[in-house]
Parts: sequence; C-alpha cells; structure tokens
Amino acid sequence: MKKREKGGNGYLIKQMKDQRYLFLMMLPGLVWYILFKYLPLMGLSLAFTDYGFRSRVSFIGFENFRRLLTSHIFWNAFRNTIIISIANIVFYFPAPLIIALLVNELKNARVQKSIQFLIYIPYFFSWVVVGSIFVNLLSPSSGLVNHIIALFGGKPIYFMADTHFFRPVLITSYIWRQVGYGSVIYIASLTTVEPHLYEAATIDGAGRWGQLWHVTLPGIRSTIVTMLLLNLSHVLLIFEQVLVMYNAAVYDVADVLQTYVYREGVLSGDLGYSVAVGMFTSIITVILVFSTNRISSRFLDDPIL
Amino acid sequence: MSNKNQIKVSPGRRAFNIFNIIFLSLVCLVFIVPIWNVLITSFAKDIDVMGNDYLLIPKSFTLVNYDKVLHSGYMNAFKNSIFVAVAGTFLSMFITLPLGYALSQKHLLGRNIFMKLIVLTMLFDAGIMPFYIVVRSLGLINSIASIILPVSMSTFNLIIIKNYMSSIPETLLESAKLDGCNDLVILFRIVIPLSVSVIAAVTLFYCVSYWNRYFEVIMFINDSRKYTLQVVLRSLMFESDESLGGGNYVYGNLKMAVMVLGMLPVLIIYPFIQKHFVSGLMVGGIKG
Amino acid sequence: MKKIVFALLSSLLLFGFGFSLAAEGKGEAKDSGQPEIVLATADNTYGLSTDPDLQNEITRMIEERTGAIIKPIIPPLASYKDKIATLINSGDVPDVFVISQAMTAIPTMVAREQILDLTGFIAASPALSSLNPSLFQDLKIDGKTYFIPYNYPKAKAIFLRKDLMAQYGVNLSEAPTTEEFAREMKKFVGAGIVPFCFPKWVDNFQYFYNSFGAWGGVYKKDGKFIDGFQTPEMMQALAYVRSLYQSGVLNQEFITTENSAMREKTYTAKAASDIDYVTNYVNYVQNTENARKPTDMHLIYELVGPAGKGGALNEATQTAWVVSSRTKYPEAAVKVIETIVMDPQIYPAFFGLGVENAHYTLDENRMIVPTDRAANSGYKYTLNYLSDSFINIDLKNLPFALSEAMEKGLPLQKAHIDAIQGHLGPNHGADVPVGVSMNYDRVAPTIKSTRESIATKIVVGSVSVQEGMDEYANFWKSIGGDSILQELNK
Repeated sequence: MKKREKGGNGYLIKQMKDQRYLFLMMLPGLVWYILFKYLPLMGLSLAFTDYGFRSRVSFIGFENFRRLLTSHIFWNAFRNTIIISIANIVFYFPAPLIIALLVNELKNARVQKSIQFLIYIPYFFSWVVVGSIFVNLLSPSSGLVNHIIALFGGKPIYFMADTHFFRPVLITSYIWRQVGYGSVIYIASLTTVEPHLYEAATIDGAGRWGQLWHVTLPGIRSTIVTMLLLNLSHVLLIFEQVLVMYNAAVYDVADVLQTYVYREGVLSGDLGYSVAVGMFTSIITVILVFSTNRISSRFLDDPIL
Repeated sequence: MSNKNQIKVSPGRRAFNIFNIIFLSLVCLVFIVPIWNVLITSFAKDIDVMGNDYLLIPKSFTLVNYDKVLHSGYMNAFKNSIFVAVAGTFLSMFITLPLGYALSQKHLLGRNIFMKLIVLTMLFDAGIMPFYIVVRSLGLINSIASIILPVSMSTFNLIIIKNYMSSIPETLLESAKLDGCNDLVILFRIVIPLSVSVIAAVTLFYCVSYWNRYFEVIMFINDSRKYTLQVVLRSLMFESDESLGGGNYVYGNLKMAVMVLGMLPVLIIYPFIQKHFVSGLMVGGIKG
Repeated sequence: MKKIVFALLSSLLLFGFGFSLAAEGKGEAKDSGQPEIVLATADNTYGLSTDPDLQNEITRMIEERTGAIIKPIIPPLASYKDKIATLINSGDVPDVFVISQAMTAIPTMVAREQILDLTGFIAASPALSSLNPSLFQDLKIDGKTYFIPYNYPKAKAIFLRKDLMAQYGVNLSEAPTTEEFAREMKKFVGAGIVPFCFPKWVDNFQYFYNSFGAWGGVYKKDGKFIDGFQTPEMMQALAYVRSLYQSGVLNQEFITTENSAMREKTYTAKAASDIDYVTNYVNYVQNTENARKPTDMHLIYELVGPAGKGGALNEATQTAWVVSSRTKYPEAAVKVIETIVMDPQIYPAFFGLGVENAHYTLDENRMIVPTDRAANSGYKYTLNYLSDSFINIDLKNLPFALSEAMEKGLPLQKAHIDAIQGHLGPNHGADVPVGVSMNYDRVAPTIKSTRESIATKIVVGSVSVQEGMDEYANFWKSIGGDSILQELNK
C-alpha cells in the first residue's frame, strides 16, 4: 500500500506489469473464491427475510435481529458459547503445542513418530463415536474412570449428566479428538527452527528453558499466532460435538449458539432466522479475529491476516 | 531434533526427561485405552458385545465383521472415495499453492485487501441452502465434481501456506529475480522445495478432509452409485431412527469394524507424509 | 509469454475437467410420454440395502407396475432429514417423499404450501379409499388429507422378561396400577440388574403421564388451548416418575442410555425391562435367543393411574408419504405411493425383504437366505410388514418358510398389536394449527427442550417438583406464553 504513494499511475501500471505472474497465479484461487464463497454469501440477505418460514417470502427488515437480541434463550446460549469458547482457547489451544514440544524432546525418533501417529488416530472418529466412548468411560456404574475414583475411595460421578462436569467433559473430549491433528502443524514447523541457533544458545549458556524461550518459541511464533487466529475463527461455531454429547440434564449449561440455531432455525424451517444468528456470530468472530490479528502483528514481521 | 546437539546432561535436564517420559506415557495411555477398545470390539463376536459393556480384555476373535464390511457396496464407494481424495487433493494444491505464494509476497498490489476479503469468507457463512443453489446453477448437482470443486480450497490451509512462505527470507527470492526468474519459476524451483514440511502437512489435511467429506456428498449427490465410502459406512453404522420405522439393527462390533476400515486408508499414508516433516531442515542448510 | 499461456491453459483444463465430470451425470436421454417421478426415501427402505444395483431392482419393479420413470434419492437414514430439508428449501422438492415425525411436520408443510392435498386422489383410488378412515383422523387439516400412511399407528408398551419376573416373583397384569408397578418392580432393585430404564425419555414419558391424564405440551382441552405442562396432573406424573427414580426402579443412567444399549441389556438379561414398540415383539423373542438368554416377554400395555386413567404410548402417524405441491404429475405420484403402500409384491420388497434372487434366495427348506451381495451392503430383512402393513397377509400361506421363533412369535405379535389398540392413549401432537401464532411456531422447539430439561431436573431430584414448575413458569413468562395461548385461542 505504501508503495503506491511513491509514484503516480505510471508507477502503478509498471508494478502491475511486474506482478503479472503473481496475478496469474492468483487467478484460479480468486475465481474459486468468487464462485464458491462470494456467490453463496449473497444468501446472507436471507437474514432480513422470513425465508422458509412462510409460504411467501417477505422482507422483514431487522425483525430477526430484534428477535434474537430480545430472546432469553439466545442469550443463555450465547453465554454458554462464550464460556466454552474461552475454556477451549485456554485449554485446547496450547495442548497441541505442548504435546509437540514434549514429543520433540524425546531422543528416539521412532518413539516420537509413534506417539505422533497414535494421538492422531482419534481425529478419524466421528463425534458420535467419541461421544459413545466418553459415555462408556464415564458411566457411573461401569465406566473405567469411576472405577478408578472408587479405587481411591471416591463416590461415582455421573459426569455426562452433571452440570458442573459437563463442560470439562466437552473440552477434554475435544482435546482428545483434535490434539493430534493440531500438533501436525507444530511438528512441521518445529523442523524449520535452525539447529545452529540452538548451538549458539547453548554456547551463550542457555538452559532448556532459555532455549525454549529464546529459540524455539520465537522460531515458531508466527505458526502459534496463526493457529490462535484460526482457532478463534471457528471457536464460536462448536456444534456437532455438543449435539451428540449433550442431554436434557445439562441443557442449561450446554446449549450453545449452534444448537440453538439448529432448534429454532433449522428444525422449524426458519432459514432467515438461522442466517441472522449466523451473521451475529460472524460479526463477533470478525471483531475477535481482527483485533487479535492487530495486537499480534506487533510481535511479528508480517501480519498473519 | 534440537537435543542431538546437546552433549552433557545436567541433573535438571535428567529430571525433566523423566518427567517428560512419565507424562507422555500417561498421555499415550489415555489414547491407547479407547483405541484398543475400538479394535478389540471390532474383532469380537456379536454375543460378546451385546449389552454394551466396556470391553478391555478380548473375549473372542473373529474376522466376520470385517468380512461383512469388505464387499460389493464397499468397493464401489471405495473407488469413488479414492478418486475424490486423489483428484481433489491435486486440484486443491494446484490452486492453494500459487495463491498462497502470491499472497505471501509483501509487495503484491492490494495484498492487504485480498487477504481481508479471503479471511472474511472464512468467518461468514450463509448456510447450506445458498451454497446448494450456486452448485446447482453451475450444473454440478449429482456429479462427482460437486464433491470436489466447491470445497477444493480451504482458507485455513491457505493461511498456513501463505504464512510459511512469507517466512522464507526475501533475499533468496530477490537474487533469483535478478537472475531473471519469474514468479512461477521461483515458486516451483525455490519456494516449494523449501516448504516441503508444510506442504506435506497441508496435503495431509486436504487429503483427510476429502476422505472424510460426508455432508456435501449427501447434499449434492442423488445417485447412490456416486456415494463415497463415508456415506456407505455411515449407513452401516447408524441404526435406524425409530421414527422412520426401524429396520436393520447393527451391533457395536460391526460398527467398529466399519470405522476401522473407514479410516485405515488415510491412516496408512500418515507415516509417508510424516517422513517429510524433517526435510524442512533444508531452510537452515541453505541459509547457513 | 509461453509460460503464461501454459499456466492459463492448465488451470482452465483443471476446471474444465471438473465441469466435464459434472456434465457426465446429465447426458441421459429422456423418454417422452412417461411421467418422471423423483422419489426420496431413506436407505432403511427401498430393499434395505445400500447396494446401488440392488436398489435398482426395486426401481425396476416400481417402474413396471406404475409405468412411471422413477428417479430415486436414497440417502442414509441418519442424514435423510437434512437432505429433504435442503431439497425443499432450495426448490428441488422430490415429487414423492417420506417424512418422519409427521404429526408436527405435516401441519408445518401444509402451512408453507409445500405438499399437495390428496383428499381427492385418495377418494378416486379404490385401494386407498378402502383404508380405515381412522388412519387419517389424527392428522386431518381443515378436513383435508395431505398424506398416505404406510403402516398402522405405532404404540409402545413396557416389555418385561418373563424369566426374570418368575425368578424375582414379580407379578404384574397387562394393565396394572401405577402403585402396583412401583411396588412389584422394586423386587428387582439391588439384584445387580437394571429394573427399568427408558431412553429418549421425554418422548417415552408420555406412557407415564397418560396414567395421570396429563399431556406434555400445548394442546386442546375442552375446546381451548392450554399448556399441558403447567397442570396439577403433570405435577403428579412427574412426582411419580421421580419416586420410581428414587426407589431405584428407574435406572440412574436413563439420561444417557441409548435405545440400542437398553435393548441389548434386556436381550442379555442385564435389564429386566424396557419400553418399546409392540411391533418389535418378535425382535425380542429372536434376540433373547441370539444372546443365549431365551425368554418370552410380558407386555404392560398401560399403567392405570389413581384416577383410573391410563393409556399406551400412542405415536399415531409417525411416518407417511407426501406429494410435492410442485409436482408435474400428481396422478402418477399418487399411483407410485399407492403401489408402494398397497401392492402385495411391492410392499414387502420395498419395506421388508427386497427382491427374490437379488436380495435373498430361498434354501431347500424355503427359508430366506440373504445373498452375499445383499448381506454385505447392510441388508437385514425384516418381517414386520407381516403384522403392520395394510395388506392382508395369510400367515399360513407365505411364499417362504418361517423360523420356529417367528412361527410362534408372529401370531403372538399380531395378538399384542390387536390388544393394545384397546389401550391406546390420546395423541394431541397435531392439535396446534400451524400459521396461526407465529410466535408459537418459532419457539415450539425451545418449549419442548425446556420441558425436557426441567422434567429431567425434577426426576433426578436436583430441584423439587414445585421449584421445577416455578422455573418453567418463569421461562413461560419470558417467551410470552400466555399471549401465545391467547393468539391460538382466538
């Protein structure tokens, strides 16, 4: 952007000519974005209609937004979504990084690879399967976890139906399924930290922590920020996992925006309303993601987004 | 990788190593137990899985469940899935890499705007219906292309690629430009070889996402001959919804066999991709 | 320059490749004259196999019988609803399709003018007009019929293992009182088995509130709409289930127990009882045998409450066929449905058995043996149609032989189905008209989930009955419940 100031139109044209290959390379991708992202986005206009809810579609202005802002159920779902999202960012986001770093510390490359492989497997389990695995593991009468609790003299806990434990169960199962997948990126980017930097740090007398703080983490900081931003971009959209794992006993704490939309928008065929809720969620995500991007760009040579 | 350069082992380091090994063993245990359960369930006989008890010690061993899954309906869908995964991954890389490279160039005109416009598509979504209508008006409904083209780009992967490429030292690219190379040549000769590890990771992501794709297949495909493996497997996996009149009843062992077979093909490629995670070291090599 | 051209060409090629794949799907020539019917149903019908070739056998049969060209869409059951919703919303409505939860879905679709009024077509068809008018009664909208059912209304009863009843001296009739039930079932408590449990519990709760004359949800009572949850009858029903829970009769884990798990527990004698469709009776007989714990089942059709009320769980019309309001060939569409529902060859092939020599063969004893091809595509035949279809079938004169268990079980099942008709509880599922109160149409799903949530809290004892009711009353106020009732009563 800055460069444009340097010269007039002639400069711009020269730049464009210089960059013709770059534009050419962008072409297929940009065409794709227009076709399959921007065209469907025109559907956002449904948010201002009662599409699907009546036999004749009519424009209803901001009625859908008024409805969601005044609905207690919506706000309860919103609160739950925020709580679960914060927990997700605090507990899930660092997990793949920590695992990748710890595995990286192991000496035996074969063991390293086996662990990476092992923790990657659950990603292929659908949420329904993950749900039933956790129901079994946490069953108060026959679950392994409660057997262990009993072994230490504790009382069995009905985790899946307990409002205090349900959210932690959600986060734990999320980590369990996703951590291996998330760590792939870190494992790939850890290989790019240059070995001679470690040597230099050792010579300077840095210990394990010193190396971690001054070499490893700075070396992969743009990856870390990228992952944070990407996590933020979909953290509010948690859905399928909740839908298959929650039950009537924990609706109060587990009803999230997407399950709410599913109920009042999708199940009742009120498409306009579900798009409106989606838009509301997107706007919050946009604020979250772009402000994080702005803050993080201070520590990076090149902003992520 | 870093520790290979370490010669002396301090007591603090030793303590850390021990802690690390114990911690990772616990982590592995948490992963092994349920996976083990899935495996032995898939090899169990019907009678041993009835009642849904948690099984840790195998009571029986049979291949019947696998035999049931591995047949006609499976093979056709399997071929479709392989085609979608291979063709799709190629197409995806073909459009993601150049775009990622272009966006990684700091001097690209309008880079900021392009980037923001692309990120916005990741955050806004108007749901399945407008998407369906676009796919339909392109004439793609009920074709294999409808499960490749509309999802052939992932902004998530694009950002990872773009970011990685922008960390490649500009001096390397500058000197190639002075030698008269255009951007296409630079991408293929310099940038791609330097980005092997991240390309491997993204290839894996794309491949897995095509393999696991389900929703789009259901939405865009009407002809059951064109269904992919995930669709067929899911029909075997989920027992009948009461409200639609009951019907075929499936025990847990068959479900687990279905699941194991469904993930095996992509799981097998993981080690091959993993191999490339070390080649990224070349960056250091060149720069040093 | 060359490279630019090369790159452009190759990108065009790749996209072109994609679209050519797309074109390949559409080239089929259309036969003029014959009506073309797009038919959508889930893959637990249509021959019960996921194999496209086997599905094609069914298509051929229907085409032969009706003279229409059938274009089937057969998604997996788990995704059927999503697929149909997208097809309807995008305007690609199939000409003929199955819907589930018809009691709520049909009024909605009628209000949105998505489905066709079939009253005239049914009257014009000798076969369809011969159906018992009571089949249509629960779901008439302004006196018109918009659907064609394909089996008798489903009813649920409590299934008890007779062997365990004998072992623990449990003595219950087919319609015991709520008090007797609580007292006798207690004998199972502490024996290391699950005495009773019901999954998906709010749906099955109907069985219990019937005994108290309550109804969960908004319904019409004495010509006026009321909220059935906020009644003294409902409080009594909740208190009763709560007492079952506290005494250990209702298993603690009912909240997370799946239907399949509960059935398997009952088959394997790890549970004494379950609540299930009467039409599943033979499945119990068969599966207890498979689990090597063979027993007969005792069915409790209804529990009689203190005021003498009670009734089996009546699902009325759960699934039905409907015709798109946009179809070009309404006559052909109805003809297709009529064939599927009434034709003595098509019905069994479509819903139960598949096609002989394709899905199954008969062995020397004339027993059904699935072909390899079918067995490996999720096919498992069911004989339910012998007792719940509209076709008159002579069990003594079937084209195939029955297993011993079936031979004994099927007449018993038929007897149970007949017997439970006399115990059926009410069904108010379609009481509320759609399109009258916009507010109700919007919040109805949330009213249901809130009901579910609060009822659960009451039963497990995290709140008292009164506290739960107060919480519900607050919720009711927050959605403007009373004004919704007023809108409906206008």
